Order: sequence, then C-alpha cells, then structure tokens
Amino acid sequence: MNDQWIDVCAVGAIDPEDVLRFDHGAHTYAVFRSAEDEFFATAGLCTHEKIHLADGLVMDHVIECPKHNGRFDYRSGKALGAPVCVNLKTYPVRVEAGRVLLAVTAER
Amino acid sequence: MSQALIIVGAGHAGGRAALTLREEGYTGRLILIGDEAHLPYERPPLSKGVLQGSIDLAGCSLCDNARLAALGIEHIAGNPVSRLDTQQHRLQLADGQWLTYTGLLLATGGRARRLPEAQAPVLYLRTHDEALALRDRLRPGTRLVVVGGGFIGLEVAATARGLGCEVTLLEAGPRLAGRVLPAPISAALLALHREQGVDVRLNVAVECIHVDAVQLVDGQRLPCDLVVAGIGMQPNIELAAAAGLEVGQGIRVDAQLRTSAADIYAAGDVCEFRLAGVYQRQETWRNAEAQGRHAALNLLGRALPFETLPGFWSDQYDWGLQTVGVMTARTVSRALPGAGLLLFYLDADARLQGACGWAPGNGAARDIKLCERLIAAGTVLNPGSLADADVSLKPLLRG
Ligand SMILES: Cc1cc2nc3c(=O)[nH]c(=O)nc-3n(C[C@H](O)[C@H](O)[C@H](O)COP(=O)(O)OP(=O)(O)OC[C@H]3O[C@@H](n4cnc5c(N)ncnc54)[C@H](O)[C@@H]3O)c2cc1C
Ligand code: FES
Repeated sequence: MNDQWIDVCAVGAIDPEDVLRFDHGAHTYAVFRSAEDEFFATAGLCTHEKIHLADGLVMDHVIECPKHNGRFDYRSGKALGAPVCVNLKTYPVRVEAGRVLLAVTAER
Repeated sequence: MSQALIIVGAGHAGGRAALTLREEGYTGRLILIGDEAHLPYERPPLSKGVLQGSIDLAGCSLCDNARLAALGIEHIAGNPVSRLDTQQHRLQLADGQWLTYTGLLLATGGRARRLPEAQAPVLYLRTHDEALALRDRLRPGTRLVVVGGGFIGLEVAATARGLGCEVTLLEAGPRLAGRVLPAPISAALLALHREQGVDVRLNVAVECIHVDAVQLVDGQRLPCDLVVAGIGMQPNIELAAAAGLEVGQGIRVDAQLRTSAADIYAAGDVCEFRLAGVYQRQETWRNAEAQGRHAALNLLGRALPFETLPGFWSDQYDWGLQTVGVMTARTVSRALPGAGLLLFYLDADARLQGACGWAPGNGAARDIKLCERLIAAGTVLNPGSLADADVSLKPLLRG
C-alpha cells in the first residue's frame, strides 16, 4: 500500500493542545497538536455515534468527544472507556517547511 | 447458594451495569432481564436519527449479541419481572419462572405519561417500537399536532419538520422547556422553531382529542392527521412498591444507590436519590450511564458514594443544547459563534455552579466541558472575563 501525503494546514493553524477538523475526499480526520508541539491525526468521527471529534476538548493527550464525553488517547487512537469501546484509526503526520502533512493510504 | 447478580430492566442503565460488572472482573452468574424484545439500547436517537431514518436499532445498542455471549451475560428479553420477593431474595418472570439473586439492580426506567383527554389514538415516544410506529406516520404534508413543549415534543417537532410535516406544537406553560431551561434559551428555542415553520402555541390547554382534530379549552379546533404527546415520563416503580421497597417519585436510594433493601440497588430514570439534599430523579442519558456504572461497582461491594454533576443535551434542527451543573440566580452570559449563547451560573463567591450552552452543531460542547472542570475545580472567577467571548476558558482552568 502506498501512502499519499496530503497538505493539511500551516503549523500555526492549530494551537498547542488543540485539534482541527480536516476533510479530504470522502474522509474526515482530526489533526492534533500536543502541548509539546507534536502533531497527530486520527479518524475524524467518534466510534460511538459518528460525531466530529474536532468539536471536542483536548486536554493533555486526550480528546473528549463533544457528545457523550467518550475519551480517546489521540496518539494511539485508544478508546479509554465507556461509552466508547472501539479505538480510532490513526494516521502518520509530519511537518515540513512549516506545513502539516497527513499520510492517507491511497484509496480509490 | 451460588452467586447470581440480576438486573431488572435491560435499558441504558441496566445494560451499562451488566457490561461494567464484567469489566470489573465479576465472574459469577449475571442475568439481565428486560420486557422489550431488544438488546439494551440508548434512547436519545429515538427522537432524532431513528425518527429521521438515519440510525437503526443496532446503531443505538450498547452491545451486540456476540458481546453478551462472549461476556457470559444471560439476557432474558420480552419477559417482564412481575413479582419481587425481598424476603426470599427471588423474583418471578411473567412466564412464571422464579430466579434467586444474591444482589439485584432495579433499572426499570419509565414509560411515556398518557394524556387523560384522549378520545382518539395518540402516539407516544419512549421505546424503539414506538419510534418506528411514529416514523411510519410522518409523511410529507402530514398535519401533526405535538402536545407538550418539553424536549421530546420539541425534538419530534424538529424531526417532523425535516420530514416535511406541517407541525403545530402546544405548550401549557408560558415558555418552552420552562421547567429545566433558563428563559433566554427557551426564547431562542421558540424563535428557532417558529423560523423553521412550526406553529408554536404557548399557554394553551387541550380540551379533547378527536380522530381528526385537537380541541383546545379556548374553543379553537386544530384539524390534524396525527397527534403525538410528549408530556413527561412515569417512572416504573410498581414492582418495587409492591415489594415494599421505599418509593417516592421514584425508587428511593441512599448515597450508595442502595434501596431500603440491603441487597437491592436502583439506577437510571427510576432512581430517586438525594442531590444537594433534595430527593429527585434525573431523566438523562448522563445519569443512566453514570448510575448504571456506579450501581454495578457497589453491587460488587465497593460501597462508593454516588457523586454527580447533572447534565444533558438536546439536538433540534442543526442546533445543539448542552448543560452541566445547576442554575443559580447569578447569571453571566457570553455570545458563542453563529449567534449561540453560553450562560454561566455563579454562586455568591463567583464560583461556577452550572452552565448552559446553545449553539449551531456541537459548538457549545467544548465550553461546557471546560465549565464542568471549572465547577469541579471550584475556581473563583471574574464575571467580566466570563462575559467576554474573546477570553478562552481553558487558561482560566489552568489558572
Ligand atoms: C425519545 C427520547 C429522547 C431522549 N433524548 C435524550 C437526550 O437528548 N439527552 C439526554 O440526556 N437524555 C435523553 N433521553 C433520556 C434518556 O434516554 C433516559 O434518561 C435513559 O434512557 C434512562 O435509562 P434507564 O436505563 O433508566 O431507562 P430505560 O432506558 O427506559 O430502560 C428501562 C428498561 O426497563 C424495562 N422494564 C421496566 N419494567 C420492567 C420489568 N418489570 N421487567 C423487565 N423490564 C422492565 C423497560 O421496558 C426498559 O426497557 C431521551 C429519552 C427519550 C425517550
Ligand atoms: S458520540 Fe462520541 S461518545 Fe458518543
């Protein structure tokens, strides 16, 4: 499978300890910047009821879903307990020349 | 006697309790009994996605059959518990069989309150089957009268508009959801529903419901094809009451969610517990989730006091409401993007006690979460900063 790197935004477009919704093709992602200035990306929708996670709250390395407070570690995608029990998919992210890039598996 | 924990009511609280018992390592016999034919499911989508046709039953279920089987949870469906014998620690199902328990959780929820004035069929919305029956009737052009301007009535009205129905909504009080919402949010709800084409009438009383019209006390007659009533919930306390457990407006419990019988707990909509010293019930998703989980821990002997911040949400059209904590007389408000509104409730020392947000989509969610943490932290706040939409709440929390 070949990864395809897509341009998401400028580094400054996401505050430290915050999240941005990023739509690409038919897919939606959540792109995170940690307080330590590392970038991560997960699937954009909560695994409980398909709600956009980017409306939620980022605290430390956890994103809390806007709807029922389901919590995920955005670095690993791990679901941290009820009501969410299915992990989030994660995607590689890298920063290049001040831009945030996201790798998605090439999809047709 | 071998150990058996039994949960009566396979709804949200009951289902959550069963799953929690296994997650917490309980390996004994575990029986989850429900009178509905379905797996435990969450009800909020019933008036939203299920009614729209965008979510099916599997999409609201807490788990599937495979998971129940894997966890060794015996689910008895469509078979209500008809008798509880607290002396013998056993209960009887409608089909006659007796089951003996070492610990019991009552999570029997409630049913939609019925309209006394109805001479003709009226639809109600509490269960998935009721949602499907209603969905079948909501066709473009259907003239629908909704009785009750609480959350269920408002959400049904919003969804029915989306499906192309002509909707009239009748509320007996002076404002929408007036029992639980602050006046500015009630006003915003009213404006939104009217803008969306709902004929909202406040301060009206229903005299009688006919097959083809609703008759109001003031003499007006509203021709219609369908009537739905959302006039509140009647807690299912009869089983507990007949067994001699202490009941008020719900099944009474102590700080650990234990009823007046030492080996019986209650959780969810049916549970009447003390919050800030006052006995009350919470009819919310959040409470069903938290109490279901908590009762499970205490069934395992943890003896933990139940502490909670109340909270709920409602979705109407593409707007969302979220609340946390309690309302006080000292209110500060700030604007949210997209003409939304966030209200803060402070105590005399300017510590946050509650908050209520109304915004497009889930636009209030993040601030409400921060408010929840600010309430827990007990931080003394500057009302001027709260009113200023340019002051982010997160730094206030980190102090
Ligand atoms: C249409 C609708 C929309 C809602 N929307 C929201 C929302 O947006 N936000 C929010 O916070 N809350 C919402 N709620 C409230 C929330 O769904 C409830 O608070 C929650 O379902 C309560 O869970 P429970 O387990 O206590 O009760 P329930 O989910 O009602 O489960 C109780 C179960 O016990 C069964 N039972 C009763 N007696 C017996 C017996 N003797 N034997 C066996 N089984 C029995 C019942 O049939 C039922 O299946 C909504 C509710 C409804 C109906
Ligand atoms: S939709 Fe995310 S926790 Fe429910």
